[in-house]
Amino acid sequence: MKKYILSFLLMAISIFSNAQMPSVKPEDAKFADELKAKFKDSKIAAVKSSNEFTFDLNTSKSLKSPVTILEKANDVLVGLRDNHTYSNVIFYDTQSEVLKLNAKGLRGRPIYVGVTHKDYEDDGIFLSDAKMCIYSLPFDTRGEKVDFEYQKRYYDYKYLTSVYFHESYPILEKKISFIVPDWLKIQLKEINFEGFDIEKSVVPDAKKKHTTYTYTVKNLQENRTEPSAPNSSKCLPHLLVICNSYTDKDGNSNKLFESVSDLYNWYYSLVEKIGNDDATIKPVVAKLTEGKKTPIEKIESIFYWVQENIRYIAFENGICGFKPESAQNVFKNKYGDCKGMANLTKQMLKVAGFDARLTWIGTTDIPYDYSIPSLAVDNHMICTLMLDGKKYYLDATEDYIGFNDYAHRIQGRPVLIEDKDKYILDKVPEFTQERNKVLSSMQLTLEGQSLKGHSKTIYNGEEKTQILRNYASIRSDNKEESMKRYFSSGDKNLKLSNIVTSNLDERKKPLEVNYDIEMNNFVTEVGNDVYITIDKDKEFGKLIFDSTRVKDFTLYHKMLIVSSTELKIPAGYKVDYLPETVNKADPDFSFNLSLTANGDKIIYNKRITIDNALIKKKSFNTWNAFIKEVSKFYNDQIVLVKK
Amino acid sequence: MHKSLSLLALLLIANFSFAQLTPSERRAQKLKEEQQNQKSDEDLSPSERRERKKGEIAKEVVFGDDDPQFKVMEVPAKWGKESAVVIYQKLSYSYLRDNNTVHVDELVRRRIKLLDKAAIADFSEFYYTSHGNDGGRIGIKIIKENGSVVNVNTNAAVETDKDVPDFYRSYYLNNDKYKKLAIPDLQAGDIIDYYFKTQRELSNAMLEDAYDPFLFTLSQTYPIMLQRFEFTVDRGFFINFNSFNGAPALKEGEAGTDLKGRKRAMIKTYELVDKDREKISKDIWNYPLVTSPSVKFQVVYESPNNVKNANYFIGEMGVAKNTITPEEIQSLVGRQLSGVYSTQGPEIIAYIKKNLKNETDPVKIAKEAYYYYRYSFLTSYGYSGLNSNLKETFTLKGSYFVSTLIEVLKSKKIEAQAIVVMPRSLGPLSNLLLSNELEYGVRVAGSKDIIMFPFGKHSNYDIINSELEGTEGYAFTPVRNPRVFNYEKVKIPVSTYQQNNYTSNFELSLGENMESISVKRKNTITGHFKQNASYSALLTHDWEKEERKKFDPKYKEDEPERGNKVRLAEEKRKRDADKEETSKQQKDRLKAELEEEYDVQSFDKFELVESGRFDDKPLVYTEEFKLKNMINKAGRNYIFEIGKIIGKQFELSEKDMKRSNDIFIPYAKSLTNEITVNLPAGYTAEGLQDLNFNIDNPSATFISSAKVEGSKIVIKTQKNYKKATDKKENWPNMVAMLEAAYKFTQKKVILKKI
Repeated sequence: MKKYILSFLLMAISIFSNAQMPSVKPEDAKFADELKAKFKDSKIAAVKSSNEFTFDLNTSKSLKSPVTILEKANDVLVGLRDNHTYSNVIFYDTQSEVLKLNAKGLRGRPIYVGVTHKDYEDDGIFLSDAKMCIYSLPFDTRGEKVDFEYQKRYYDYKYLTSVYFHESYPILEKKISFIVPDWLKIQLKEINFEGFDIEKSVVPDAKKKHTTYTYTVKNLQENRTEPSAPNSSKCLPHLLVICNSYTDKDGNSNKLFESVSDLYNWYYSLVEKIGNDDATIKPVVAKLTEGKKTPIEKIESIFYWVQENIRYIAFENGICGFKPESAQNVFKNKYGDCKGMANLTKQMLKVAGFDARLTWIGTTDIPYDYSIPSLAVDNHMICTLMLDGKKYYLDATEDYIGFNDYAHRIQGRPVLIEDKDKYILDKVPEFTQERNKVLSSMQLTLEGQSLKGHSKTIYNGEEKTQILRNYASIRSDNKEESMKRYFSSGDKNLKLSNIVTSNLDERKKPLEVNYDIEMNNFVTEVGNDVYITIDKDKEFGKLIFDSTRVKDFTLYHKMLIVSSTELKIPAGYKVDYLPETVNKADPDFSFNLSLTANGDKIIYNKRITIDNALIKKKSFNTWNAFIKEVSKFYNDQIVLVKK
Repeated sequence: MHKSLSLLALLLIANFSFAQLTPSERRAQKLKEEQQNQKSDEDLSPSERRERKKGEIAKEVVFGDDDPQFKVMEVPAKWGKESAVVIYQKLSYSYLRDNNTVHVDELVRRRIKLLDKAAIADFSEFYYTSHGNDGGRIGIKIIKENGSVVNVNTNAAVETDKDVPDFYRSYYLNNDKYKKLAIPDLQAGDIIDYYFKTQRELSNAMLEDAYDPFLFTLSQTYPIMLQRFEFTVDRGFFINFNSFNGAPALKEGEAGTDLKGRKRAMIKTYELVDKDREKISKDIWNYPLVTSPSVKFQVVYESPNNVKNANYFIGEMGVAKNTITPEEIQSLVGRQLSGVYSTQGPEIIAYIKKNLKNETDPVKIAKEAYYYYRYSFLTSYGYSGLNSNLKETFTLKGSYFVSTLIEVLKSKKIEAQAIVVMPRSLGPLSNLLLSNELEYGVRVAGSKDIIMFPFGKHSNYDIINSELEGTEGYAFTPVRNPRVFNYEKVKIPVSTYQQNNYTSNFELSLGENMESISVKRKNTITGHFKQNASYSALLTHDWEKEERKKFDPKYKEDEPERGNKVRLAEEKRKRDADKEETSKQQKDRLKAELEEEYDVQSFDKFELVESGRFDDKPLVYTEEFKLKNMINKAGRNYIFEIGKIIGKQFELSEKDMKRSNDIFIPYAKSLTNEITVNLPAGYTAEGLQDLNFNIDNPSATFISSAKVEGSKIVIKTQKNYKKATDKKENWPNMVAMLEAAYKFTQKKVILKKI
């Protein structure tokens, strides 16, 4: 018979690491302790960190790109803690490769680097070619130095778009250098350099026929992930690498990405390979446009059909990250990524006789415009419709958005519109916070220790589409309960009943929600006094920014909240005290809160705006001061006293 | 432990094959894979074409099943508001042998009607269990409302490491490979009809084993109109099967067919058919395997001459075994314990011999042996090599614990017995069916019998894992091949709510400007609460020091030993750095725990008063912290949200008020708060009468009182969950208590200037 040969005790012994003699010089130990005092939360720091990029003319026939790039990364890391294993990830894909990971310790002693490769799986992306090279480095004793290096080969110059200075650990000196051969014309675009002391040097070497561009920065803090922070490209200093042109062996100059037209030409070369076939689409378009009188009615019918019937599933697999799927395939599959959905929208509109074009766009996550010919400029695709000399932008990935309405993430963003061998540059219109207005009114009476009454709220823009989308995604058997929870923000003290909404499929009109409400534990009765807090939402009342936060705070969209609440003063009572009005305004946000007595009613008016969906780091002090007042107002009490 | 190790192994294997390829080879492979997905028949090699053909035939065979339920289009009106309804699911498992291989095949076919957008989202990203090559092992078709059928191309499926939704998980345990696929053209009203097959081939050398056990409830994510489980089992296999809580019985069917398709009398078939099954209940505090119709099933292979020595409960070949006798339990446990012994054994014996030379009380000796065993393990190299997560959560393997302790006690001429029980989440002992459902412990007879189960990092000998409390089991002296059966039925004692107590003494001082509240809190923790609280409150340095003092008084960590001074200094530095680091982490953890209950301004101080490492002492520690957002201006006065001081309470939703299952709380427990609030000079408090609650019923208690004594507010609250297991009819008792406690947290008092 079999026995349990291995208890986990025995296995455990084999992974035990032995205690070692100190391997650190006293001066290194002291140095590490100083760094630890300086960078309190960091477990390691880099004394030096460098990334050197060299460029090669491609000689291999298996590769399409004429220029390849080799990155050599080298970090001298110092452990600030004992017994720490540092792990990090290098991303790569089918167009790149991570090579030669190597680490050395004291006196060149080789150190084992634990390496695993894995596919990268992201919740938002169903299929991607991104891969992770996960490596780990042991730091047994603080002060121990590890000289770590690796190489990354880019098989196509296009895919090296940007180079960042920050790492997940602090760096005392960071150097990024590009050794650019004379046969290559390159542009290095400096982004977000403001506030960082980055030195640049340019050293030509006539003998070696190259020029070295070096950027050096000292004392970089570690890059921390902070909730609701803007995309790294918007807040961290980095370089955009744009290979403009090269001279081949025969001395001929060849364009790479010199201007936006080169970028467009490459994109368009992929578009030309899509191979749209209208046969299967035609009958559906005919059906969708049948009986529709005006062009707008026809367009809406098609646009909304794509929103409703094509499921968004993201694919970023190799070239599929750039080439739209054919319209007939998206139509057949009933799913697609943004490019596939844009292409189907375009093709259906074309079949219906409209002038519709594919359109590249970078969402609000991206700080660049089309003056930069780089793949980093855009991350999304929509469809532009040309009608009577006007442009309309259709983004079918935005469920429940109406025609001529634009989601916050594309508002104000530059677009690159397909125009055969030319292209058109434009911008998506930008709306104010009025677009997302939430307007509510409530009438309350005091009954025992509860506030009871009726509430009516009108949701617009992003606030509306968000609700419609959530509602649609809830399982039918759970819809009612979820609605109650949603409109009461999960507050057990709020009991909602008789919820009536306007049509939850309606895109063009605002959403109206009515319900009866009972608010418990908002009233405290003591002797002759009744204390009442009236605000059930208390928006932003607890959003205070820590002084250690480094990055701006982003919101999903601009906001405008307007509400008016009437509280009937019960007979036999009079108002003894009302909290003081708060009026606070900053260019990016404002709060107006007031309580006034008017006859037998107390009127509570609230108006809050977040004008740009962004609270900047430099406004944090102002914001915090405002919120202190706002929160005081929210929590202060209306005091009624018996007459 | 098991799971993480196998995961690691998988990672290593994956990495290995990946690393074998050069970059250009990988690109070529990628290209090949891409092409393969779109290959037409002409592009295929003869063997690929054969594979594809085989797949097509398999598809025809599976979808050709003329079972009328696979043609059903409509779902009952009562389920019209569901997200989706399973019209039919048929799951077939076969265990068949040929000359040198065992084939374990699984075929799952489901027909599901999708009723809303949520279901479309759930099925558009589709997952299935996968073993090896998928050629023809998966087939998906969509039946549109008008009856037209769309065949889904499954070539683009890829492996995924993501957490797979419950619905797609297999019914047996131990499967961790899934593939995912985007399903095209789904609309509400569509039917998705799919099947997948898994095939595992195990060589005869691997025969002696049990195959993945099945433990499942018949209710799943969606309601099910009809479900059928079929099992085909070759000669030489043993089956354990039973259905519980009203689940239909397993029926034996006609003779089955072998791998070559021949009908053979010795191949048995079994089938379970279940109809009209509602979706699974979402009640809190529920043990679904106890409350809802459920099934246990396992196939075991044992060679005929080894049946007596099997590590599993084995019945008669070809007959599904559905009960386990105590004799079988005693025999099996006897076998499993024999020859198993911890490396710590001799050390414990030596310690007991030396330190309890004249002790004769078996209970005292057993207790000391338990704690020395724990100490010796926790200070062993084996333990220090565990990863940080396992260090906290491990429990020693039962067979090791039991046989080692029995051996140790034998050295003092004490005869201890083994105890076996089944966790209460798996049902009563009469539901025992599989050997891995058992948990092992030790019973020592003495002035008062004691029962001990394997230790964890912060366990006490007399605090029994709450999953085992109240369960029935057997006690006996384990021997290999017992001739006489001397088992005795035992019941594991249930700890009372008084024994599991968490008392917090608060002293609150309100600042001059009323903006923050300074709190001094002393926590006194006993019973089951202790183990959990110890993870945060006890630092390794603290308990290690205490235990070294007790068990190894000569050990002196800070005194220089003989040897290299530099090395000793470095070791001391590392120890000190580690102490500093871990106590900082502890403060962060305690602060984070506090933040789950309150708006914390700062966490200032922690002090351990009593470690509670040993059974007779509670865990006691004090904390100092500041809270904010509890006092606000109210006109000329202040309003103090005093109810919040007892921390967040369970919030029952409207849905939670109704209950369809009995109640299973991890353990009975009591929570006591004694709160003193020092009022600022010149203030008095009003509205305290609202803080008085008095709920006391056979299931639960929430009693609170509040009064002003001089310049202090004095509040007491007592919350008891009196029973770990309760009838659903008593749910209103629990609701009354939970609602009262919640209401208490919402109460406010007015601080008035005198």
